[in-house]
Amino acid sequence: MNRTIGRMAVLLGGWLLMVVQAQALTVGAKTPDFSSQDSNGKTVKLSAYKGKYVVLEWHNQDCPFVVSQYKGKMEKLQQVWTKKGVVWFSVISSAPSMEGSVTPEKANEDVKRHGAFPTATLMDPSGKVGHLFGAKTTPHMFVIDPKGILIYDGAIDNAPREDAMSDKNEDGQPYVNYVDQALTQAQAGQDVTVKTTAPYGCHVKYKD
Amino acid sequence: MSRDLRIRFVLTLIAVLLLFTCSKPGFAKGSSDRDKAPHVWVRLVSEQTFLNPDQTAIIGVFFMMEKGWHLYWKNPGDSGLAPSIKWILPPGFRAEDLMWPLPEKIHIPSLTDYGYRDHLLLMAPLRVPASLKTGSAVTLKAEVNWLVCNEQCIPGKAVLTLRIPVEKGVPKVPFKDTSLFAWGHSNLADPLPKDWTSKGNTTRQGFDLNFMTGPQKIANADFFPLDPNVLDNEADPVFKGGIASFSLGLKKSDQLLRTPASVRGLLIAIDSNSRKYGYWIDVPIK
Repeated sequence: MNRTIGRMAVLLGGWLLMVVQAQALTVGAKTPDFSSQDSNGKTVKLSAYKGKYVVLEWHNQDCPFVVSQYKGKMEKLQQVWTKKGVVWFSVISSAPSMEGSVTPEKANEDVKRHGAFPTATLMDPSGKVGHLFGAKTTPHMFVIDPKGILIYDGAIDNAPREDAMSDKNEDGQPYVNYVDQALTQAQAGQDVTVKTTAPYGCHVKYKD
Repeated sequence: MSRDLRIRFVLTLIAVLLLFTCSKPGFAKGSSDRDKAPHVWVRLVSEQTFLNPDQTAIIGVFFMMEKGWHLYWKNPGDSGLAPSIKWILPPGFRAEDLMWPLPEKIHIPSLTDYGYRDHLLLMAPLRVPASLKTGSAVTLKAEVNWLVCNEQCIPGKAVLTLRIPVEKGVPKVPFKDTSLFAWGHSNLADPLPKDWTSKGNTTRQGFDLNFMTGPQKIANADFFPLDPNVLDNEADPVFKGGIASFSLGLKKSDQLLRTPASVRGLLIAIDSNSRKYGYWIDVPIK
C-alpha cells in the first residue's frame, strides 16, 4: 500500500517536473501568456499584443546598471521603437521592501522624471512574470516577435562597464545594443544574429 | 571546518595589518597602493619586496569586503559582473591573465551567483623585462573596477600605484605578505591530474561528465561553468561515485541553443578526508 503511494508520488513528481520543464523558455519557442497590473491599475495581457513586437525590460530604478542605462540610452531606444509600433513593457519584479520596489505612483513619477517611453510599467511584486521568463538581472531584456516567439533573451548591450554614450565598449569593441540589433534585423526579415547573451547587472530582487 | 576558520582568522588579521596599520597619510588619492571604496578595501600588492630583471613575479589586488558583501568570479553566474584590472606598466613589462581563486556559490532568492565573500586576492604573473637596470625602481599601476553586492549592488573603482625597487639577488617576500600569497596560491585550481581521464555526453537534462580518477577516492564534487548560458546555475550537479570513477550530472541552461563542443570550467573534487581540490577542465561533449 505504502509502496503504491510512494510510486504514485514519484510518478506525480515526475509529471510535475515535466510540466515545469515544459515551461522553460528558450529563444525560438513560443512565449507563455501572462497578465499583470500596470502602474495605472490596468490589466495587461501579453496575448493581447499578438501581431506586434514586444520588448520586456526588467527594471529596478535603484540598480546602478539601470541608472547608467537611463542616462539617455534606454529612453532613446524606447522612444525610437515605440514610435515604430513596438510594445515596450518595463517590468518591476522587486519584492515589497526590497531595492527597486516602488508604488505605482512612484513608478509613473520615475518614467516622467527620466523622460522614458515604455508602453507601460508592469508591477510584478510577486515575481510571477519574472519567474515565468526567468528574468535574472536588471536590466534583463526579452524580445518577442509578432507570432509570440521569443527572438532575443539577454543583456541590453555589450558594454556593462560603460556609462557614457560611447561607441566602443571597454574592450575596444564597437558598441552593440542587442535589443536594437534584434528588432532591426527581425523587422528587416533577417535572422537575429545574436539570440542570447548573458544578462549582466544587479540580481532581480525576488521574494523567493 | 576548523581549518577554514583558522584561515579566515589569519586572513582577517593580515587584512587588518595591511589595510589599517600601514596606512600612509599624506598620499594623494590615486597615487597610493590602497583605497577605501563603499563596502570594499583594495590594495595593490607584490609578492616580493623587489623585482629581478628577466623574471616572472606575482602581483595582485587584494580586496577586503564588509560582512555580507560579495564580489564575483570570472563567470559571475546568474547576475553580477566580474572585477577587472587594467594594468598600466612601464615599457617592456607585461601582466598575464588573472589567476582566479576558487569561488563559492552564492545563493540568493531564485538565483545562484559565483563569487567571493570576505577576501579576494586576484593575482597575475608579471613579466619583468631583461633590459631593466638594477638599482632603479618602477611604478606599477592598476585601474581596478568591480561590482560589489549584498542585496544592493554598487560598482566601484580605484586607481592604485605601487613603487617597487629592481635589484639583483633572491627576491625577498615580506613576512606579512608570506601568508597572504601562500593563501592566494593555495586557493588556485590546477590542471586535471595526469592519471585522470574525462569524457562527456549529452543527457535529457543536460550533460554527464565522467571521470576516471585512478587511486584517488573522490567523495563528492561540484562544478563552476566558465561559459555563461551553458548550465542552469541554480541546479546542483548530481554526483555519482563509482570504483575509481565518478560522474557529475549537469543541467543545461534554458538559454542554451545548441550543444557546445565541450564543457569548460572549474571542477571541485572533495576526497574522503574532506580535502578540496580545484581542477580546470575542458571536457569534449559527444
